[in-house]
Amino acid sequence: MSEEADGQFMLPEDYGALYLQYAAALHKVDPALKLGGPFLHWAESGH
Amino acid sequence: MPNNICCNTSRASTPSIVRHRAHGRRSLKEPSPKQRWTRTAQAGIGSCARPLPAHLDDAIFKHLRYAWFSRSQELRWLCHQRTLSWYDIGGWSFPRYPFAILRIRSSLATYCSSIDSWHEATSYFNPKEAQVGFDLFYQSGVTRGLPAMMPIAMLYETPENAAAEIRYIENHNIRSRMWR
Repeated sequence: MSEEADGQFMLPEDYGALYLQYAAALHKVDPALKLGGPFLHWAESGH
Repeated sequence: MPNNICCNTSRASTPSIVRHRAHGRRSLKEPSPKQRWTRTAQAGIGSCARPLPAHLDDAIFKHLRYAWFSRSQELRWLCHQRTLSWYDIGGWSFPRYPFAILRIRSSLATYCSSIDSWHEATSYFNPKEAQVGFDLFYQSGVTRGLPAMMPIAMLYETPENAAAEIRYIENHNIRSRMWR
């Protein structure tokens, strides 16, 4: 569970909050799901 | 993709052609030599560097052929991102979609890729980054019965769509038990 947050002006707090929203939505579908994330991608310029 | 299901690296529902056209970009470039449909065996699944084994190639080909002859929505689903960009040939614009159909009708397996809608036409043909839909991914047998991690896009999607993605996979009985 992630996205290319690099370069998107995404604050860590917001990214974490968004992750929790996703986790809640997914576990509502299936509480047994194993979730992973959030993670970042590369910080290369141009991405 | 999906109007109701979407993630960054895999797609999971039938697309809306109308929506694609509304969001699609018109390519002003002629197709380059690299912009060609590629045999499934060579670039069909994920980041496979080597050709797929013959039995997987056959399985994917039969799947696509079945999808075409059954007029399955799945074919549109598999190829839908192709409709985002257009070929400009001699002043006429052609969507990529019919090209895929013609290939399949001529008994050539075609690998279908799902790429985010904001990409340019030139973004489509990197075999090392080919992204397939969930159905094709599982039905190809490439997981060999092992668990597979499903991607969930966060910034460009919504929690509701992420839930719909998982619901789609589970409702279609795509070995949901294997990846728990």
